[in-house]
Amino acid sequence: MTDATASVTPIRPDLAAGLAHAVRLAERICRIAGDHRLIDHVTRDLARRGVRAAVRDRNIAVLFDWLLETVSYQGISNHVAAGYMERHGRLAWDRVVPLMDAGPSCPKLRSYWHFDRCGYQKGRQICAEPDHFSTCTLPTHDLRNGTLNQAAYSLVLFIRDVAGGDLVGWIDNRLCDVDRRVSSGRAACLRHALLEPLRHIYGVSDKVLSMALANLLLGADRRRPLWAEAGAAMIAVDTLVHNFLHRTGTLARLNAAHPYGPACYAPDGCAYILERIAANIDARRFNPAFPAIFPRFVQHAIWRFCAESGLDECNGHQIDDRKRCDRSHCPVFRRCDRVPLRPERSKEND
Amino acid sequence: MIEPRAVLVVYGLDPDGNPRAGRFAEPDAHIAVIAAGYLGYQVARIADAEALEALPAGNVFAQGIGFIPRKPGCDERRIGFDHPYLCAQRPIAPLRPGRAGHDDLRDRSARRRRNRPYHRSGRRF
Repeated sequence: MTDATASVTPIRPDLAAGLAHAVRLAERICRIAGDHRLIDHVTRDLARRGVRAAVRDRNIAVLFDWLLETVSYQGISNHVAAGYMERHGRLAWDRVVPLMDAGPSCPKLRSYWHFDRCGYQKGRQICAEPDHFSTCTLPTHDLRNGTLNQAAYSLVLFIRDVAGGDLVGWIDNRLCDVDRRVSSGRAACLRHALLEPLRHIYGVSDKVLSMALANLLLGADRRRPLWAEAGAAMIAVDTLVHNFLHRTGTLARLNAAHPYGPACYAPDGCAYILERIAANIDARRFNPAFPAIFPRFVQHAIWRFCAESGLDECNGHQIDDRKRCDRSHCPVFRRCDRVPLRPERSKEND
Repeated sequence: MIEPRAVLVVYGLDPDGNPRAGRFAEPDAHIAVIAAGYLGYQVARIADAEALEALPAGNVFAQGIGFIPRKPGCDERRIGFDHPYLCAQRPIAPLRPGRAGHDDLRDRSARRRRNRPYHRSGRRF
């Protein structure tokens, strides 16, 4: 166990054995699938996209464009999302801002706090303010769906009204405030300080937010230690990670079975479990430059183990989820409880 | 005796005419003042513990009616305009010393938006 376990709420004694099992399993996954140069790779990617320079110069246009593109990958395969953006273009800050500056007639676009229940539906071309629809600029952008249009405007309004136009400064202030006030459980508080406000931006899920913030905070500026600390604590739970925790029996052993969705970020959800697992794994064994407690690394290793673009071991293409997994060549076959995701109902129950 | 620290309270009528009020702790209080200005709510600072207990916590990051939700089961007379503590308070001071009060916050926010560059490179919103 590492020193950081002291800062995490202790797990119930009757669940300690389940946690120990989960830690052993996750350690093996980190050895097999962990990206031992995760921070380097993230840093290089952000530099290539101009995000590191944007953070340094506080260039909100580049940051917005990068964030919105990340959000655009939500809810669909990366291939399809990227293909749509290639064909139809991307919505840029420089394009939205003049439209907002011109003073839109719709009352919902007056401020971040007015932008509630816009109701724009791309397919049906309707919204909650039909009198203003014909002059509204929100539907004029050809994004993949109406939710993305709303997410883009909501993000613009958040940056303008809540962050005062300086997202980098806003992040600094939020993290510094936690740094001043909180001594124990810092990781969770740092994560919460950013996720809680940003999750109110329309159409942005916790998963996408966590993923984007993890990369931004880990790789954007090494001279900001609070950013690195908060980025290491970001945990992105997608279906692959949730299903892994289900199939391996981790959720059942920790008495935390739940369906995929918002419950993954609720108390005793997947994010909570991964945080506790990570608190018991010293990530410096995989790379001395890593922080000792690195939940993002553990979660990313699990994702890589499962994903088709990673090791392609634990996913719906490889496993028949109606029955117990029989992939005996899986590297963690012996340690895994092999709980079926969608067990076939017995005939008596039918 | 140490005087309890005053807490920011935002209150007013929502678009449907329902009285709403919510308290905001630091460090979100200054954003709550900006939001109140946009939404046309009043702001005050009160230190009375009993009065604060009757008020639900607001969420400065929530949009629409989520900003200052009505607390279920709470006596509306206690969280509406007629609350003695809210009535007794002068609207709180402006965002920055020496500037106008809350009445023209909305106008001032709009002016600020028009005049202020949004990052150091000088790009305007």
